[in-house]
Amino acid sequence: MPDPDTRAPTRRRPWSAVPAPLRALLVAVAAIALAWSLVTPAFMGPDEPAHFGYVQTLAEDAALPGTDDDAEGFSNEFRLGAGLSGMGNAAQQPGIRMEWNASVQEEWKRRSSRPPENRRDDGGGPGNSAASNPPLYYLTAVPAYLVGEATGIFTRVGLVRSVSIAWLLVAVVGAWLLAGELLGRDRRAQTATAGVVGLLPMSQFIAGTVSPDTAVFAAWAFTLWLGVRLLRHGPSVRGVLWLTLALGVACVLKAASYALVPAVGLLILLVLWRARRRDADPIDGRAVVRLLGVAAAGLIGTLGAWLVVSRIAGVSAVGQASAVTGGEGGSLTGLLSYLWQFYLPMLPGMSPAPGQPALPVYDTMFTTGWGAFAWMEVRYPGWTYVLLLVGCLGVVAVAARVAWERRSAISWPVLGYFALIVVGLLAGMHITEFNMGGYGFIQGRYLLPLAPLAGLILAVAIGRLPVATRTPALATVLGALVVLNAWAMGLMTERFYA
Amino acid sequence: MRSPVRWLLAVVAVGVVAAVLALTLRTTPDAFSFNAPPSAVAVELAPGEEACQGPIRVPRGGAFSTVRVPLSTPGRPGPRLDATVRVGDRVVARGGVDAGYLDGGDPPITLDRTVSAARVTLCLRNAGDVGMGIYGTAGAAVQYSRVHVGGQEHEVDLALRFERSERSLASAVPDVVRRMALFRAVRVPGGAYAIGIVLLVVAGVGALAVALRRLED
Repeated sequence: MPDPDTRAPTRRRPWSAVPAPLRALLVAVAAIALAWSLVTPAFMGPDEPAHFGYVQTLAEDAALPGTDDDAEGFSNEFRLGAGLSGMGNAAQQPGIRMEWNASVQEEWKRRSSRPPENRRDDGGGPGNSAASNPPLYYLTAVPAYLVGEATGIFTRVGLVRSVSIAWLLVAVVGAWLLAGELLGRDRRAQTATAGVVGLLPMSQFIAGTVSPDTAVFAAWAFTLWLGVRLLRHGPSVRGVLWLTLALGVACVLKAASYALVPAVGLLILLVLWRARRRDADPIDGRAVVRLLGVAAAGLIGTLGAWLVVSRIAGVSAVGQASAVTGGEGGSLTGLLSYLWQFYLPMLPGMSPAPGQPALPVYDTMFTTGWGAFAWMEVRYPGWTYVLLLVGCLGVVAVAARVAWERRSAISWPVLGYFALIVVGLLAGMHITEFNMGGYGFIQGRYLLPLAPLAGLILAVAIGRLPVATRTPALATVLGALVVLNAWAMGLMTERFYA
Repeated sequence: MRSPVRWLLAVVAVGVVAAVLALTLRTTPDAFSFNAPPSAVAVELAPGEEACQGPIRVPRGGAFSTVRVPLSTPGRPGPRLDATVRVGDRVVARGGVDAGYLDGGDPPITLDRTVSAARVTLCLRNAGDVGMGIYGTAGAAVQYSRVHVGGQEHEVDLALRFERSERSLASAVPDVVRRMALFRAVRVPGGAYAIGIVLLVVAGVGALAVALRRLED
C-alpha cells in the first residue's frame, strides 16, 4: 500500500470544481429546458423557421441567408416538413393545431427521402426574417445540425435546440459569477440570481427552440459580470480584454447588443480615469494607451471581424439596429407622447398611440416577458399576471428598502453601469418601435438579457428576511418558477394537441 | 416547516393538484384539426352549387359528429346549407344548417351520426336561393386535400373544424400523448414521449432539491 504522502495528487475534474449548488442548478435548468424542447412542436418558437433556415443555409451552402437572390427563402425540405406537420398553418392561428394523423407523418417520411422534396440546399434566398442577424449563434449551432446530417429535419431541429439550452446554461453561470462578485460568494444569493436567469418561463421556453436569444442572455450576463469585476478590481489587460470580447460577442450574436456599447465604453474610461488619479500606484499614459489598445483588440477580434465579413458578403452588419436611426420617425413631441403612453395612462389632449393596448408597459412588456409562448398566442390566464405583478412589486419594494438602508455601501459606479445598460436597451427598443410606427415591435422577452439584474434584486430582497427563512423563501420562488414552467408546457400541449 | 426542500416540494405539490383539477374540469369539443385557417372566402356557392373537400384524413380517436366552418353571407341572412360526409361515393352521414345564420358565423353542422372512417370527403351544398361563401385559405394549405366545386378543382382549403361531444382534458390524455409524439426529434410511442417529458421535469425538481440541500450544508 503506497504511503499516502507519496501518492500522486489526484487530478480534480473541472466539473467537481463547480460549487455544488450551481452544479445542481445547471442540471435542473437543463432538464426542464430539455422538457420544453420536447413539448414545443417544431418551428413553434418565435421566428424559429427563420432561425433554423439560417443554420441550414450556413451548414448546407456555407453562405449567409439572403445573399442568393435566385434561391427560395426556405429549403424544399423545410417546406415539406412545415406543410405536412401543420406548422405552416398553425403559427399565430390559435384555432389551428398541429397535424394529428400518424399516416401524414408516414407520408412525410416517404416524401422527405426522395428528391426534389428532400433538398436542403435550395433555401437561403430572400425572405428569411432572421437574415439581418449576425451569424455567431448560428455558427455555434452548425455542428449540432451536422451531427444530424443523416436524420430527418425534425431530429435536426431537436439537435439545434440543444445548442440554445447550452447557451442558457452559460447564462446561468454568468449570473452566478455576477452575484458572487457583488454579493460576496453568498451561495444562496448566487442560487437566487442564477435561478431566476435559468428558470424564468420565457427563458426556458426560448431555450427549447432554435433562437439566438439564449446566447444573447449569456453574453449579456458575462458583460455584466466582467464590467462589475473591472470596476471593483481596477484595470488589467485581461480584465479589459475579456470585457470587450464579451461585448463584441454580444454584438455578433444580435444587433440589440449594441445597446451595451455606451455602458461598457464609459465604464472602461471611468476605470482608466480612476486608475490614473489614484494615490497608490497610478497608471501612466502609456498604460492607458495600452489598455485602450487591448479594448480595441477585443472589439476588432469579434465585432470587427463581423463588419469585414458582412461587408464582403454584402449584408448589413447592424441588422435590426438600423431601425433605431431609420424608419418613419416622427417629431420629438410624438416620441415623448408615445413614451408617456407606454408607461402611464394617456393624458387629456394627447393623441392615442395607434394600435397600442391601454397600458403597454403592463399589457405588452410585463405580460409577454412572463409568458407568451409559441408564436405569442399561448398565455397564462390574466389573473396570473396580476399575481406576478404583485409579487414582483413586493420583491422590488423590499430590495429598495435594503438599498436605502445600506445606501452608504452602494457602489454608485456599479449602479450607474447597470442603469446605463437598462436605459440603453429600453431606448433602443422604444426608438425602434417609434420609428416603425409606434407599435408592434416591443415584446417582453427582449428584456430577458436583463434577467441577471432581476435575479440580483430577488437575492437582495431574500437577504432582508430572517436568516432561518431565507432558503425556504428561495425554495418557494424556485418551486413557483418550476410550476409556472410546467403549467405553460401544459397550455402548449392543450393548444396544439387537445 | 423550515426545510427548504419541503417548501419546494409543497409548492410543486400545489402545482400538481392544480394540474389534476384543470385536467378534470376543463373540457374540449375538438375531435381533430384540419389545419386550414379562415384567412379569406375560399369558395363562393351559387344556389344549388356544392363544394367538396377531400380527402380528409381522420386521425385515430378523431371520430366526429359536428362540423364547423365560418360562412360568408354579406348583408343578408345565410341560406340553408346541406352537408354530407362521404366515403368514396357512399354517404355515411348527413347534416345541415338552417337558413338565417349571420355573416362570419360558424354555426354547428350537426351530423345524424358519428363518423369514424379513416378517410372521408365533406361536401357542403347551398340549398337556398341566394349565394353564400365558405371561409378557408387563399391558397392550398393542406397538402393532401383539395376542394372541388362542380367538378372543378380549386387551390384552396376550407377552414373546417371537426368536433365531438365535450369531454374532459383528462379523458383526452391518451389521444393527446399519441398526437404530441408526431413530427418530433425522437420517434417513440406517445406514452414514452410524454413520460420522458414528465421525468425531465421531475429530474429538474430533484436537482433543485439537491441545490437547496447543499445550501443548507
